[in-house]
Amino acid sequence: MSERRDEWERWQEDWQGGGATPDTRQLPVRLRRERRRMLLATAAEAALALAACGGIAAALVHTPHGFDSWWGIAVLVMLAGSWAIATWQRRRVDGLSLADATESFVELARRRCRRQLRAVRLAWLLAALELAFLVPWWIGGFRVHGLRPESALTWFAWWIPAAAILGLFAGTLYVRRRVRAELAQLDRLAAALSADRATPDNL
Amino acid sequence: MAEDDSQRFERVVREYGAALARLAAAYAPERADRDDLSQEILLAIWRALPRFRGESSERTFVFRVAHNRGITYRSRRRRLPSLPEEEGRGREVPDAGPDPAARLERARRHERLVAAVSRLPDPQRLAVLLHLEGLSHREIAVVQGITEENVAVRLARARKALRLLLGEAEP
Repeated sequence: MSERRDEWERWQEDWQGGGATPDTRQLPVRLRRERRRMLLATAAEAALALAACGGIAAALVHTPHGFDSWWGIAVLVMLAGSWAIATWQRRRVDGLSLADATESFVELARRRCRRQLRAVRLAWLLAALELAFLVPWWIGGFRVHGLRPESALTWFAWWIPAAAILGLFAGTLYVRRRVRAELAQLDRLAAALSADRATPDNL
Repeated sequence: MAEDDSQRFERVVREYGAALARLAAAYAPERADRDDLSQEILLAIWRALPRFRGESSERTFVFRVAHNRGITYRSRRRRLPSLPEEEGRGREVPDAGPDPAARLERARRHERLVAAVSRLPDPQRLAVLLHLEGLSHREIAVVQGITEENVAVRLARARKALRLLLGEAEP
């Protein structure tokens, strides 16, 4: 018993013999950088959501048809709703308690990852619905107005929305890959923590 | 006079700064990552401290935040961190007295232990890091959200593993 204690004491001494107090001067700079990054992300998300909603709204105002209108309004409502949910969820994630006990923190972090993966799937669904609304409108619009690729209207009606949808797809693909990798690591950790919840009998 | 948030933060850094740097080293053995994680941990504590209402001891609270930040950091990395840098490269030499040889020897032993602790399975590493900082079994149990019995089991397993990793196992 005393040998064990001595061993730990020696290791504690070796351990505490290292490590210098970190420099805190960089903290305000980091905090500002992080706030700026969050602000940019929120602004980009808002711009994307507003562009998606605005595109549909403009199409509805320009050429209101019976079925198309209902389809467009439904997609518009879903887009606005998902944007609101995403904003609310991000606030919750930001408030994720780092002061929780390890096991419950890991569980919360896994839940957050799953929620993010669901959000990605929802974004894809909405993009598909929006495309289903916009593609016939694009085809009809090009035919009726005889638009040329370089005209200003084509930019607003086709190039910019198409680039936004492509950007959304690429961005969510990247997020999905990152979050899945994180979730896999957290799953492994949760399994290890759970397997290690042993009693002295199986020591 | 009651201390405000920034005074409290400064005191926490003074009291636990070195311990937090050691903890960061165990989660991010490479030097560049280590400094980065140390800063992230401090940032997390800075943000979390105003929400601390004394439900646990301040020490437990600080270590909880630091560990959870370390877990997040590790889980977000694509590759698992490699082993610590070669001996002598980028090593922090603590101020342990006037004798340079003794200082170097102390730093060498510390780095060797960091390398061994980094190789432990996650649950054991979490318990060992706290134990090496001098937390009691009860405090470790509070940080990890497990029973004291579990803590004892993890530490006993970790002790065996550390002996092997440090080449101190009995023949």
